[in-house]
Amino acid sequence: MKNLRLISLLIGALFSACSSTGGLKSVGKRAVQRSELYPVIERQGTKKEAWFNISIQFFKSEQSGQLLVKQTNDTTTRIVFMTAVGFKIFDFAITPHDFTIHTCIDPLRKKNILRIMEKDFRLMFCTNLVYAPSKIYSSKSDTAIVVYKLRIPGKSYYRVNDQKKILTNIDNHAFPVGGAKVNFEYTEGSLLPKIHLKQKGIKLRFELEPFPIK
Amino acid sequence: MNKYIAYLILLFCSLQQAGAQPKMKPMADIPGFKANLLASTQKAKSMECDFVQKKFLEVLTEPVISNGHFCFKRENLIRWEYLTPNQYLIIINNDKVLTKNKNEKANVIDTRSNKLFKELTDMMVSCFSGNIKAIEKRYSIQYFETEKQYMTKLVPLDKNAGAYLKNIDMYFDKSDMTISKLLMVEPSNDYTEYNFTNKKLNLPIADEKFKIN
Repeated sequence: MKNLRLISLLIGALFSACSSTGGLKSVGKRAVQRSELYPVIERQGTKKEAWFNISIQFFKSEQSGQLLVKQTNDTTTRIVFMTAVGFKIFDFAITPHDFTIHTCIDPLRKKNILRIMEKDFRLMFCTNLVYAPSKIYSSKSDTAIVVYKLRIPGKSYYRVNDQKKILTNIDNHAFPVGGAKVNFEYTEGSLLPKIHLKQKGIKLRFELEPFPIK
Repeated sequence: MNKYIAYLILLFCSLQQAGAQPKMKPMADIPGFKANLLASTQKAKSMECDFVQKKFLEVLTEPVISNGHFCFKRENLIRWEYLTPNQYLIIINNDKVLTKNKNEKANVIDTRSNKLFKELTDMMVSCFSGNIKAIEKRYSIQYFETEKQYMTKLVPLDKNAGAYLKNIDMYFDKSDMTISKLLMVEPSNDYTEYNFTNKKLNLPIADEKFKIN
């Protein structure tokens, strides 16, 4: 009996240490607008177009190239990945309710791979306009830090800095296991951040580094 | 009324632009072109040049431009080096392809185990070595010319290659029979244009430049 209590305490301690809301206090629940998450693409002003050097590491293989992220209208985000020589690997259009494949090379045209990529791009580039009523937390030590617990896709904690107006990280949990962690790393003088995405269940990483296009 | 005037101005501008492009006509002497190309490329042991790559995407209003340096050495050695806006290196050394980003470790692919890469590298080597015969097996070819250029339009015969490439247009300068422009058109009609300038033929190029470890 004592052992059971000890195990429960240990599990409880482990979960609270790993929790995405550690050091935060709940400040209410309401619908969340996309703009409150400070999506990366919005930092480009009216242009709403960003270029990244991208490296995708999937188990032992690695593919690098250039990623174009462009908001073509209020609801559509176009994501195009091509190699340095200009060969297109994939071209997706994402809206809050649709995922359209314009181009995709055969090795990636697998249901599971496409589902993961769709989810990851939705996470990174905040493709919903409004998110259903969600719990909101703020940091106990820094009131500028706000965390939105969004229920799409899975359970996702979006941590933003309201003072700097930036999205700093996303912790996504999938049921029963898995999910992804996304970090946005801002360097001085650059509008766009470096983005690192790591899947929790499989060896899949995305590394995105912004670069200017003439 | 203003709308009609705007349309007329647009039409006039587009007609002027169309007029600026020399019109392609079917090639008069195809066997002569093939023989000429083979003879001149046989003489060319190496070629070095600069290139400008323009990627035209339906989703963008302006092309994405990259610049770099290109080297070819007989038989199967190609060094394709991007300098701006990104540094990126591709080396084709027979059946091996090396790709390397500025900050990354090199990635080596054996084209014998990658059909798509093999198709692309074979096509590139054939383009620069002027080996039309090798291309004829895998593409249907149409031949055109202007006063200053020859143009071959390649359409892949293989269904798998056709899924990625609609056609490849190769432009050769009549003066020296070297390639001056390459156009790779995708099934979506997005395309990549490569323009080759400052061409230098038969200068010594060290084998080190094509080394794949």
